[in-house]
Amino acid sequence: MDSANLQQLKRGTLEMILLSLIAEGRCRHGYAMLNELSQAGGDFFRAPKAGSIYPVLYRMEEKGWVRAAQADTRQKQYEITDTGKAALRQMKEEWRGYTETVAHFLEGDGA
Amino acid sequence: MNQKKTYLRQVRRALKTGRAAKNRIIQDLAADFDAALRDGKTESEAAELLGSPEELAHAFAPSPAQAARRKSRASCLGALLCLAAAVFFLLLARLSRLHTDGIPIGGANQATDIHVLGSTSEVFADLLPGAALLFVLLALLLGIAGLFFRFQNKKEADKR
Repeated sequence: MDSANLQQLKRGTLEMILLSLIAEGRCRHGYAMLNELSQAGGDFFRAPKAGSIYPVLYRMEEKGWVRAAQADTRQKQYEITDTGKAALRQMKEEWRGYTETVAHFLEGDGA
Repeated sequence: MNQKKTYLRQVRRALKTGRAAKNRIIQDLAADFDAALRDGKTESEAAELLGSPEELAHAFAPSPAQAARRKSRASCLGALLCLAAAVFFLLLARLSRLHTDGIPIGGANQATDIHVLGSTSEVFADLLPGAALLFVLLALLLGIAGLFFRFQNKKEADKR
């Protein structure tokens, strides 16, 4: 069971990760995202479930960051929109700045 | 395929969302279930991968703000329907009075053995204003409930 801190961190970053996967064209549908996360997600995203990714995908669709098209296999294929690309750029910049700042504080804490 | 149907039925039953959202979720899960089978997984493995119905219900549960918004909307709609019912009963009461006023007394053309204490339509007409008042009170209660849920929704939105 993840700690409450880790759960909160995962919730906050999953949106950025999924948007990035869609933008890079590495994953286009839910099942591929589940596979990618369980294979490349290390201990942090071990055995993700549909209940973790679909609420995020739906939210991103409502925000207009991604659009979904129905494929022949009935699976939705997600693609990033221009608004989504701009949001991802901003998220990446903020994330880099944030992690650098946190790392700076953690370096000398003696733990 | 039976296990897929059973799984999707259980998920549908467990979800606490509206019908449109349920359909969307079930459609996506069904497509992922099929993708997992094409990928060589068994039906049990596919269901395990997607998550238990309880986990999914928890993940898709409406937020407190959404729940409050839905309750507020339902209460306001209920209040409007009750007001409409009250107006309908008042109109019906008025029409019944007009109708009974026009009935001639002793207008039967044969011998009858009916002891009339008050015509049914008159008794019915007497009850209608009471029913209308009941619906007005119900509308008032629902309106207050709607305002309460609206306030709750605003409080939840301010928290975020």
